[in-house]
Amino acid sequence: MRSTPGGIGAVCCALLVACHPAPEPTPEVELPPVERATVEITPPAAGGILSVPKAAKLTRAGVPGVFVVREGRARFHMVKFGRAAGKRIEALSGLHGGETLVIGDLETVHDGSPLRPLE
Amino acid sequence: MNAAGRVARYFIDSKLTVLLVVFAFISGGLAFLVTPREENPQIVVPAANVLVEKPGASPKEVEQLIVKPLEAILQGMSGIKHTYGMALDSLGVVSVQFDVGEDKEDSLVKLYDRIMSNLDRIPPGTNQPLVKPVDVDDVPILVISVSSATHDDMALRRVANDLLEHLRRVEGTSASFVHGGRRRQINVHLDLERMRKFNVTLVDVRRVLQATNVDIPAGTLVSNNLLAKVRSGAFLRTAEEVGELVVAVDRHQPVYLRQIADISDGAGEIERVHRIGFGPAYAGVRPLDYEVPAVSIAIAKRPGVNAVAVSDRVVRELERVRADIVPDGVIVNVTRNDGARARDAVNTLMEHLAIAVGTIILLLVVFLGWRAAGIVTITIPLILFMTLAIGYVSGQSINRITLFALILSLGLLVDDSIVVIENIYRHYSQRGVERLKEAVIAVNEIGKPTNLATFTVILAFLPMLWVTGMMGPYMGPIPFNVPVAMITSLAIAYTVAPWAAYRWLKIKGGGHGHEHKSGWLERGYAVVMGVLLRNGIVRAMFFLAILALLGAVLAMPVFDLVRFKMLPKNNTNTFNVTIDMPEGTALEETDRVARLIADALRRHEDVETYETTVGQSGIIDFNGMLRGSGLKQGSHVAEVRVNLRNKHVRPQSSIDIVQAFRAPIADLARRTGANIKLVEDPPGPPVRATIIAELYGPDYDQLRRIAEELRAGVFEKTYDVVDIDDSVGEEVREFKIVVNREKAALAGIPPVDIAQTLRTFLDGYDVGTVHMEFEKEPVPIRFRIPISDRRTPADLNRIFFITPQGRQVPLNRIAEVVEITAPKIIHHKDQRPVVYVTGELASTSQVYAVLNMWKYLSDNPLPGGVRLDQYFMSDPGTSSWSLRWDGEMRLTLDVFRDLGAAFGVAVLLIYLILVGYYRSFVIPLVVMGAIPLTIVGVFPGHTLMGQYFTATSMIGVIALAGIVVRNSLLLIDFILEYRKQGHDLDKAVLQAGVTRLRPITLTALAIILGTLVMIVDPVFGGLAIALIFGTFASTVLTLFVIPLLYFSVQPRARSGEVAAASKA
Repeated sequence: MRSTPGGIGAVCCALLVACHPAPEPTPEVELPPVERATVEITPPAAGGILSVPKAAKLTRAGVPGVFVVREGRARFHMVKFGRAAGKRIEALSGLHGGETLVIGDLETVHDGSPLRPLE
Repeated sequence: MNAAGRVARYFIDSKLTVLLVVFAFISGGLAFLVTPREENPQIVVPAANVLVEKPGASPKEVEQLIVKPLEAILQGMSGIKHTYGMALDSLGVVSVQFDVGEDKEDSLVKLYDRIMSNLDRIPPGTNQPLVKPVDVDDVPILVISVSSATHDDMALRRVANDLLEHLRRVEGTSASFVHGGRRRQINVHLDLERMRKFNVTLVDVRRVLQATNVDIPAGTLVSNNLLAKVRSGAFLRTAEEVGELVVAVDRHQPVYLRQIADISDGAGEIERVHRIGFGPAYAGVRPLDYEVPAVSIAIAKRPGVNAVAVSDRVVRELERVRADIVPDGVIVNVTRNDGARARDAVNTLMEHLAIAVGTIILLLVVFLGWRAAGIVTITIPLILFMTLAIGYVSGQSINRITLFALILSLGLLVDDSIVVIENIYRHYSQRGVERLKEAVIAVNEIGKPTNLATFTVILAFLPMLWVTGMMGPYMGPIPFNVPVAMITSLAIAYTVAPWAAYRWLKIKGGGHGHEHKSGWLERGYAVVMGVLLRNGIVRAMFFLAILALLGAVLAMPVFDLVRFKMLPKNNTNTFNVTIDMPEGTALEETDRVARLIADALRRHEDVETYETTVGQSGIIDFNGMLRGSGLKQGSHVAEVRVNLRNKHVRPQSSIDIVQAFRAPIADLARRTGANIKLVEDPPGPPVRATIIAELYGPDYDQLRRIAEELRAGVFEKTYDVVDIDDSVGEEVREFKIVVNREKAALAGIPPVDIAQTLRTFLDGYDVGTVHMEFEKEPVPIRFRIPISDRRTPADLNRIFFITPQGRQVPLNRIAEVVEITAPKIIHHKDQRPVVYVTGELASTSQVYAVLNMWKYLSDNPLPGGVRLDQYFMSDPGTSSWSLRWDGEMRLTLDVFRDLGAAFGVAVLLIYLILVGYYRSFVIPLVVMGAIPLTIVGVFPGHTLMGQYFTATSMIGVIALAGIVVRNSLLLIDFILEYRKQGHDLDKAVLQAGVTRLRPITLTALAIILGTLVMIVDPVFGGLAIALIFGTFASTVLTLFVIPLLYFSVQPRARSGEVAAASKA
C-alpha cells in the first residue's frame, strides 16, 4: 500500500521504456566505388561565362547538375545551365571554375560514390 | 473548536470521507487521461503582418507614404505592444504585436476594423492592404517528409498531396500544407529568334492567350419542353492544345504557338529546392545517395486539442494508407512530431514525480514508522489527483511547468498531513482512551498554525500570477498549481488524515515515541543552544558571524562567483541552421553552401536526418514564427533543420552538439561569405535574437554606418558573441531600364507594353490554367524565355517591339539599361526608424556580454567618433544617436523586475498576515528573519554546482520564503506555547527548539529529496538548486537564529510579562 504510487510509477516507466525501445540505426550504405574519367574546368576569362563539357551534365530527380570530385567522392552540384555550343554547355551558376567534374556514364553514380579517376 | 477541528469532527467517522477518496481518485484519473498534454504552456501572442503594395515606389517613398501613416494608425489601437515597420522596394510591411494574453480573435477583428475604417487615406496607386495573421496555432505539430532517390520533386509533390488528402481528414487537424516540390505546369518557352522571324511580340502572344482560354455559360435554349444549357468558349486542356493556338497571322499564314515556342508539360523552373539527408543515427531505409529530393507535409492542430492524441491519430492513418498511396522507392519519415515530444517530456517528468514520491515515502517510513508513513502515503496521490482534476476543470494543460510545479509542491504538501498525524499520535500516546475525541482535539490544536503556515506558502506564490510579458503565461502553472496543491493538502489533512489515523494509527508499547525520544541530534542541539542562551558574548559573536556570512554571500555576485542568466538552454532533439548569402546570390550557389554545411552535419553520430530548404525558410516552428523567419524568401536564403537522435539515448546534449558545430561552421561561413546561424530552440519564451542593439538617430544612412561600426568594432570583439548580423543589408547590383519617352512615343510603343514585355521576359507570366479534371492543384500555362536567353544585360537587347507600322524595334533603340545599386530596406520600430545589430551567445549568459559592451560604449566612442546614449528600459531619444538593448536582456530585466516585485509583495503579505496572527509588530519580524538566511544557501549552491542563477532560481527563492517562514512560525508557536505553560524564557526557547528539531528536519529533507530529481534538468535545475541548498542552509540556521533572535528581542519587549508569567 505504502509504496503503491511509487511502484506504479516505476512499473509505468519500465513499461514505457520496454514498449518504445529506440530503434537501432541502420548501418550506413557503403556505396560501390565507380571508375570514371574526370575533367578539370577552368575559370572563365573576365566577363566570360563558365562552360563545362556536355558529358558532365546530368539531371538527377529533376534537378540539373554535375558531379564534382570532392574528398575522393563524386558529389552532386546543382547547376543552372545556359546555352550549348558544340561539346560544351554554359554553367550560369553553381560552379566557380577549378572544380574537377566526373564525365561519362553518370546514371549509376550517386551523390557520395567513392570515385577512382580514369585517366 | 476552530474550523480545522469542526471539519475533522465531521469527517473523521463519516462515509463521506470514503466517497471523497473514491471521487478524488476517479476524477483525478480521468483528468490524468483527458487533459491535453503539451511540452510548454501555450503563450498567446496575437500578431499580424499588414502588407501594402505600391508598385514602383522606392523604400524611402514607401516609408513616407505607407509605413509611417500605417504605423501611426495601428499604434493607436488598444492592446498593441509593438509595431515593426519595414519599407522595401514597392512594398511596405507593418507587423503588429499585441500584448501577451490578449484575445486572438478580438485583436484581429480590431485590427481589420482599424484598417478598413482608414482605407480612404490610402495613397493613389496603392494596392489593397493584406492582413496576414501570425497564428501560433498554425505552427505545424507534425512534419512528414516524402523523399526518393528516383522520383523527381513533382512526382513527390503529387504523392504528398495524395497523402495529405487522407491525413487532413483526421479529427483535430487544422491548417495543413505541402512544402516543397514543383507543381505541374504547361511550360511555354518562347524563342526570340523565331518570334522575330514570324514578327510576333510577347505582347501579341499574351493578348491571344488571355482571349482564348475562356468558357462562359452563355444561356439556355428551350425546345420540346426541355431546357438545354449553352456554353461558349474554348478551354485549353492539354499542352498540344496550347501549341495549336494561332497567335498571329504572318504573310497570310497563321502562326501557331508551337512554331515560336517549345511547349512541354512538366515541372517549371527550379526556384526552391528541398532535400533530406540521413545521418549515422538514422533508423530506416537508406537511399544510395547522401541527400535525396524531398517534399514535406506539414500538419497543424486545432487549438485546445491534445497534440499527443492528434499526432498519434495522424501517424496511425499514415501507416494505414501508406501501402496504397506511396509508390516503391519513395521513403516516408516523420521528421517532426511535437505530439510525441510532448508525451516524451510529460512522461519523463511523470517518472521524476514518481521517483520523488517514492523517495519521500522512504523518508517518511524512516522517520515516522510504517503506519504513520502509510497514512501520509495515501494522501500524496490523492492531493496530486485532486490538483490535476482542478487544473483540468479550469482549462489548464499538463505540461512541463505543471509537473515541475507538482514536484516542487511535493515536499510541502506532505507536511500538513504529517503535522496532523504527529499530533494525533502524540495525543494517543499520552492519553489514548477515546480515540475519536482525541484525534479531533489533536487536529483542533494544530489547526491555526497549520492554516497559517499553509497560507504563507500560498501567499509567497500568488504574486507570481502578475508576472508580465511572455514569461507570465509560461510560468503561469506554478502560481496556479502550487496554491491549489497546498489548499488540497490542507483539506485532505483535516479530513482523510484523521479518518485514516483514527482507524489505523497504533501505539506500540505505550509510545515508542519517535517524537520524544531524544537522539544524538537533539542532544547536540541542546548543548550548543544551551551555551548560546547562557553566554551573551558568544551569542553576540554568533549573530555577528551570521551577519558576516550573509554579507559575504551577498557580495558573491559582485565577484562573479554567482552569474545570472534568464534561462539556460534546453537539451532538445532539433536545431536549425539558417544560411543567408549576400542578397543577389543565385540559388545554385546558395545550394552549394547548404550542401557543404550538410556535409559537416552529416558526420555527427547523433544526427538522424536533416532537411535542407534552399530558396525559402523551412517549415516554421514557434521560435521561427516569433523571429519572423517565415517571411524570408529568395534565392539567397536557405535553412537546414537537423533532427537528432532522441535525447534519452544520446549521451551528448544538443547544447554540446551545437557548440561542437560552431567552429567548423564559422569556418565555412568565412570561406563562403555566407551568414550562417545555428538556431537552438529557446528554453522559455522566444525572442527575435538573444542580443539586439536597436540604433536610433536623426539620419538613417548615418545610422547604417554606425551599425556597421558597432558590429565590427564592438560585437565582433566581445567574448562568446556569435551569429552576428545586422539589418543594414548588402550593396546589391540592379539593372534599371530607363525608357526614352520621346523615342518610345515616336515609335508608337506605349511604356506599358515595355513593362509587360520585360516582366514576361524575366519573370515569366501565368496565363490562366489548363483545365484538367483530376489534378489536385491548378496547372498554370507559364510563358517564359528560357534561362539560356537571359543571362546578361546584353540579352535584354534581343527583345523587340513592333511599331504600328509593322517595323521591328529592338529594346535598346527606345530604352537603355543602367546599372545601379538597389535601395536598401528601412526598418521602423514603434514609429522610430531603427537599425538592428543582433547576436547570439555560444555558451555563456548574455547579461555579461551586454554589460561589457555597455561599459565599453559608455567609456569609448565608436571608431567613427559617434558616442551612443544607451538605454535599457526607457524609450530612446531620436534627436541624438542612441542605442537600446533589447532581446533577452530586456526579457531578463523585465522578468527579474517582475519576480522581484512579486517577492516584495509576497514578503509584505506574509508580514501582514503574521501581524494579524501574533498581534505584534516585532514577532513577525523575528519569524521572517529566516528569509534572508535562505540566500546563504542559494548563492553558494549555484557556485558549487557551476550553474547560473536563473529565473527559475528566483522562483525557488520566492518559494523558500514561504517554506522557511513556515518553519520559524512553528518554532515561535511552540515557544509561545511553552511560555504559556509557565516555562522560563530560556527553557521555553530551548525546549521548543528540541521539540521542533525533528519535524523541521523531516520537512527540510522532504523538500530536498523531493526536488533532487529536478537538479539535472537544464531549465529547472536552478529551482532545484535554490530549494535544496536554500532549504538546507536556512533549516540549519533557522533552528539557531530564530529562537535566539526571539530570545534577544523578548526580554526588553515584554520583561514585565515574563516576570509575571514566571511568578504565576
